[in-house]
Amino acid sequence: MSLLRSLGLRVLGLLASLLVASVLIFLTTNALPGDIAQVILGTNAAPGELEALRERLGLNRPLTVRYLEWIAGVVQGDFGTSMISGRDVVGLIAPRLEVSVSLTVLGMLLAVALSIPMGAFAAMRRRRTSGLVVSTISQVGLAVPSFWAGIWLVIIFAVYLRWFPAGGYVSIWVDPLLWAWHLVLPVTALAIVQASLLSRYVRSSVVEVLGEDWFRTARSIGWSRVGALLRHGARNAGMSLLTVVGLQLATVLVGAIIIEQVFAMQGLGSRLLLAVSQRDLVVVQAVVLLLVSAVLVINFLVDMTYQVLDPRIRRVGEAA
Amino acid sequence: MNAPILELRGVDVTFRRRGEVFRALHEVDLAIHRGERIGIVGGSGSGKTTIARTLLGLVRPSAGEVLFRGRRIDGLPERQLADLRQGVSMVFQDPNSSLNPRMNLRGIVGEPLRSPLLRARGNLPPDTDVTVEAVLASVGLDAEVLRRFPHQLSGGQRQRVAIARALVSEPDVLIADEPVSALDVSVRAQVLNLLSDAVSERGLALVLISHDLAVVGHLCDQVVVVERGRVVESGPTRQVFDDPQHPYTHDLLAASLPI
Amino acid sequence: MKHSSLAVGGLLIGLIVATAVVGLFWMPFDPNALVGPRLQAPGWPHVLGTDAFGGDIASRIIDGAKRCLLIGVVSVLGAGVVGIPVGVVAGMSRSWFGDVLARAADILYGFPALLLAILFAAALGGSTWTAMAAIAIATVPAFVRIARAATMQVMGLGFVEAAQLSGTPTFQVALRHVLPNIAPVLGVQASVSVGLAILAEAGLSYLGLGSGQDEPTWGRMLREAQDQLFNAPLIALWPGLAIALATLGFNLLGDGLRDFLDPRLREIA
Repeated sequence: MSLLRSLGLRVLGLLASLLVASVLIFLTTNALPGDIAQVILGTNAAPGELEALRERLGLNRPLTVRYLEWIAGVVQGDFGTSMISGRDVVGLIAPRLEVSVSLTVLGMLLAVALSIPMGAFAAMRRRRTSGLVVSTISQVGLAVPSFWAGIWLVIIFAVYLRWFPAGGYVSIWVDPLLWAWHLVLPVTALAIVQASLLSRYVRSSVVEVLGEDWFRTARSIGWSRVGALLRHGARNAGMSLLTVVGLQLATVLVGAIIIEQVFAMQGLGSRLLLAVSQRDLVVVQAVVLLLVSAVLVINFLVDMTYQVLDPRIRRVGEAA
Repeated sequence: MNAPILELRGVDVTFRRRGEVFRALHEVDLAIHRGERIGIVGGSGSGKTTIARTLLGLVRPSAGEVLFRGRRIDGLPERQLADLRQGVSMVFQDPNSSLNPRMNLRGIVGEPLRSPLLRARGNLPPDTDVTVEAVLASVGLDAEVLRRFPHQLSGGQRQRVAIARALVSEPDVLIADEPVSALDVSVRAQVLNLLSDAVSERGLALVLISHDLAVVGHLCDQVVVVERGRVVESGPTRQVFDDPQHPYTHDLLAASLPI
Repeated sequence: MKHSSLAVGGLLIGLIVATAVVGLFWMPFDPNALVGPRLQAPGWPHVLGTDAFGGDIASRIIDGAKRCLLIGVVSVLGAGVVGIPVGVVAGMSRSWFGDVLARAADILYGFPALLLAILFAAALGGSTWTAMAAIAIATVPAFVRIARAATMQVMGLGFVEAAQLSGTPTFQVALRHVLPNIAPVLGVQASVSVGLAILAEAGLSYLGLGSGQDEPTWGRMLREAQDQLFNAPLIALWPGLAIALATLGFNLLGDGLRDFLDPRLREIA
């Protein structure tokens, strides 16, 4: 199958997934039993008030109409207005994007950066104690809740040592140094768990490479272990890592939501949780759709990168 | 002779693999009569196993007919294949994977007896320990193995169990696909003789598929030579082996150990 | 050194289970009552100290163990009951149907339990039930995937076809041939999933989306502990440690069990 055709199919697949996701999100927020108007106004609200609110929020219209209206708006960049404050949702979300993006991107980057040496070390020394120690550390790292790690980082580095702040966020445009300083602890908390998971994949990729024929050939003609690994194994491990990174993105995003709470950061997560407590469905829908779409799109890009990099596909392209 | 019990008439089989079409069998004719022993020989990939699977209704021909007792069975859904399922049994090549590791021998050998499809035909032996013990005895296994599991037996013993399972429903045709290739050389003769005895005692027809000409020469009175999905030669075994007409048959004979 | 994962994992889980079982009959204090001075350091009679409201931490930890196991096991069981049959059907199917099911499962695979729980909480209000439902639903795709992959592996072995040739109906084939042979792989997945479920539930409770006020879970205790970081940081140690040990136990168990798998199936798990 030609590269162009497979690309086209995948784009269709992405659009289909986005559509399905939007339907699921909409249904879950709007089709479950329970009267939102009642929840917002409280149990003492008069029937007249409830009805008025339902009318105003458009809750009495059929689900399909409401869904189509929502989707039509989303496609044009209009995510609706908050049920509680009436303000435009885009305006509520936009200032928070930077926090979440900073957290997620840096968290993932740090996780990848940590996992590569960890995993490679664990693989190369897998029969010795040092390798086992590193493997054990990654096992433990997997089991630790990221918010607990965050709390302990705060206790040790913020409360006790006072090296870093216990919370808050400064925009990169305002002061890049302060921005970085505030992000050190939260990003580390996020990265610890991720790095543990990723390092296991790195480890198994490297173990696989170490056993393969061309590695042994490279070694026999004089390459050092690391040199041969880098030369031949990097691509193999890199692709496997790429796939996992894509898969784990959703997890990191979700982890960022939790970490925001530990460090009192004003990101998408805290806004989402506020909307949940207020039962502001419009905001909840919008943020969740945004997050899920981000994950789907990035997975799509990862998938495409994989296709391009995969030597088998490339050879076909060259022959054609 | 009377009418063939199992037959392929002008059978073509094509497989689709990732958009590519691969023709496994070309216009294959094969007739198996009661009590006959037919060997199917050819190199790997020649289509021997496809022939077996087509005879069993596992593969649907793209042209031609498959007949059992004179009635067409190709393309029929599973629930209409009761006659075929009872009448034709198979012994697979690999005794390690053809027996369910988590079932004991009573369960494995007795399985055909539990089939509602076969039971509905009315002439199935009862699903009792006695029946199973009897068929196991006929393949040289003691009753005490009933409670055992496959991993507790040797390769040769497992293949006997597979043969027992094939015999328990009292079929008319036994198809054996490389029945001893996966076994130790020292055990092969035993299992082959067992197969031969079982078939003659019950008056069954035998279709033996093998790449090993010596095995076929030992057991079969008729032989069919298959090359790349086509039947290139067939006839009585001695005649074909002594005086091969087709170059492929020549090559096969030349490549095999002297009989 | 061999099978150490299994041993340690089993030990940890045994510890948690024992704690939970003990907690069914006896706890040092009523976990929901205010039984002592606030923020007292570990000592006697409050072995792990008291929290910001005066509750006995040890009792709350024991109470939390019950909830942790309940939520983790029930969610995964629910996910298995739905996901495994779907996966087996998808694996045994020879037509496009199987592929469609697999594709659907793949699409839903990465959807985090937390987001689903958030959606549920927004619509229905957060509770133990919404948390369990969200975790269960989010775990279904994993079971579908692994059940399908394992089923397909098993289908490739001869005995499934032999069963079909013996006239065994498809349902019986699935029940007596496929399921018993994929069970070990599913067991590994279940163990790993319980570990993930425990972490997910902890996160949900921490955010206030899980169990309610009178049902202390370890995640919730961490939320409460966070307000006291400057005064009494030690309170944050115990609930988090409990979560980590429980998760670690199930992860190690899953890893340990993997070593006992048939090598043909090991790669899938």
